[in-house]
Amino acid sequence: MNIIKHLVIVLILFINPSLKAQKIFTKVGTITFLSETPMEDIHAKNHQVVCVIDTETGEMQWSALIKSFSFEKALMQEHFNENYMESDQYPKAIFTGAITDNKVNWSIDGAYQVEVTGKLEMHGTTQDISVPATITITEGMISTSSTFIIRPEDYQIDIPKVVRQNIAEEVSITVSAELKKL
Amino acid sequence: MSKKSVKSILAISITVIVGLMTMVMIKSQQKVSPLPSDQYSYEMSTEELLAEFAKSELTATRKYMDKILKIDGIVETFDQRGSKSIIEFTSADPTSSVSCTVVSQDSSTDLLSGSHITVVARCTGYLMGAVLENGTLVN
Repeated sequence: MNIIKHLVIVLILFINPSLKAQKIFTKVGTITFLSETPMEDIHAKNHQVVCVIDTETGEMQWSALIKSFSFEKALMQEHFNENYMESDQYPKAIFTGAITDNKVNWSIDGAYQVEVTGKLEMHGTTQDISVPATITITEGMISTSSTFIIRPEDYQIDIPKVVRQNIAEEVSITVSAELKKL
Repeated sequence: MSKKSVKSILAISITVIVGLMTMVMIKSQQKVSPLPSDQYSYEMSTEELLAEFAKSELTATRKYMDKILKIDGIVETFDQRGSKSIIEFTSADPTSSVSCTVVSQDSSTDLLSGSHITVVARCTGYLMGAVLENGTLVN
């Protein structure tokens, strides 16, 4: 009886491709942000970003630890964590969403331009966002990238008046990841 | 108050103000420096660290967040990214492992997969594994 049960499970897995593992992921994706003002440019990088994509549904999640953003200058990093992002209270930024109209053929090489829509949760605030993204498939290797703008104000990030000229009202975010099967 | 006293107070005030401004300027320009390899709060293996996060992520996060850890483990992947490199350590559980960024001067030589290494780094939390930053390789 057990043999029959195992045989049935194996057959189902082969016949129904949707039951196969379809998730791809990375733990070392990258997020960079750039704030440009006439006073100064501030940029930071986080190379330990988790990204999981379900290739069947196009659903995805990106997660990053706020304290993993590294700056060139120590004081900027300290202000970013303590004054603006309050990273002890809000340690993660999480995007949960999906490719709108998922037309990516994950088995055929190409650079697919897609739209990704979902919710970005950061600093205790959640906003709906929709961003353009590129998914590139080359000989089975899958990578993705996107550049978009966010406004700190939309996430209740207060910028003190004294440094308002140093921090842009719109911050450019770039995300990228090379993914492998989970 | 005599003219001499006023001049002295003025001179001291200016010196203090200039000194404070210089200190602020210097501090604002200080770069994030690599961690010294002999100063850390906890020492353990990657598996021991993961076991603590598996037991209770909340408790482990409270214990290790922002703390400097001396960690030893086996390199699974080593990836150069500009001025930094990212090391992923091997783990018995593929969905949970330790990863660590190390500064460039420590990563000028590529680490081979399978190498047993020790790093001193700052823990920034947990995301599908423990995340360590600003690491320094220990010989």
